Amino acid sequence: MLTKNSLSFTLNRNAADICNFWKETSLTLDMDSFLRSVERKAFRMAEIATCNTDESLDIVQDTMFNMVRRYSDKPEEQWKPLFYCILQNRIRDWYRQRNRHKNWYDFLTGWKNEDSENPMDSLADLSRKSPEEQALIRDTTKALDEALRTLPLRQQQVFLLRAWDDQSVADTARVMGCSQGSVKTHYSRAVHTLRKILEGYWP
Amino acid sequence: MNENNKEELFLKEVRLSLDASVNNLDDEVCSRLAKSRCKALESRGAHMHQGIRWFKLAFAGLALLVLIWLAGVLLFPEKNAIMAGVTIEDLEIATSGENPDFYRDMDFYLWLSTKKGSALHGARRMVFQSGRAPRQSH
Repeated sequence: MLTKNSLSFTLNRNAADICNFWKETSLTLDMDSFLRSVERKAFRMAEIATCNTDESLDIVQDTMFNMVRRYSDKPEEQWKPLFYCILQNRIRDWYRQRNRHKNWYDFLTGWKNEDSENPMDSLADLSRKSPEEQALIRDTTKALDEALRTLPLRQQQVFLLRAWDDQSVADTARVMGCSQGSVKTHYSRAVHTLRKILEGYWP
Repeated sequence: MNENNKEELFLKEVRLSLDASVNNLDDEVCSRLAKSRCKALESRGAHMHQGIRWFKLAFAGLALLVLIWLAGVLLFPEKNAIMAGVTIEDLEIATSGENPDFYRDMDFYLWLSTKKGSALHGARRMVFQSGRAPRQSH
């Protein structure tokens, strides 16, 4: 038999459940739209650093998992720096691991390259552009990627965060885990080197 | 065009090129990214459910302990009664270090104090000197 008290308790509990449900749903939707907004850029940053599509996808996936599990309860304005911080840590971890097992890795990638398809196939789908535009974008993208890959990892990532993602010196320093002075130095060296390499494309 | 403007122009071109590369990503890469995103978002729910499961387990463990304690109280009431009979006064006597006979004869000393002041004085002296008062016949 339902007494007045038990009825009000049940109603309150249901209201709390509904509130929690809506809170969770809106948080999930917010996180979904946030991840949607950064995932492609993150993938490209990882791809430029690793030169490997699968590894880059793994890095971005790990970053997303860590972000959702650990930091989805944090305020929304902190999500972006936290996401890039995790991404940079993952890229650095990948680099360290690769250097540790360099011979083994070289052997595996060498073996894989024999069987893998033409690397040009994995380039951007440019079917919506005119042939001239496609050729230009393909050329400049390839040249830019190659130029960026000649930079040391720190310079490369600082340049991408500052020049592409438009992050401030302070935010970049926080994300990269170094001083603001280092960020300025890395950035100016990166710009100088890239301008030299890409003189033929953008004088 | 000065050097700063040239640099600005260069950075603008780089930005445009990188944006174009993002907008023209391979369809397969886009779908794999979307799949990763969905998996990550699902993992949040799973993570929370795991937390709730641990909470339920801890709660069940606590409830079991309470049940065991209650069963002990209900099955062995005499032990608990013995413990319940022990008062703070008893504990004070046990821990005072005084001879137990002194407390046993306490009524006699109280009676003596009402009868005669000197007798009480004598009895007190006996107690403090020997630590034990001899039982006296009335």
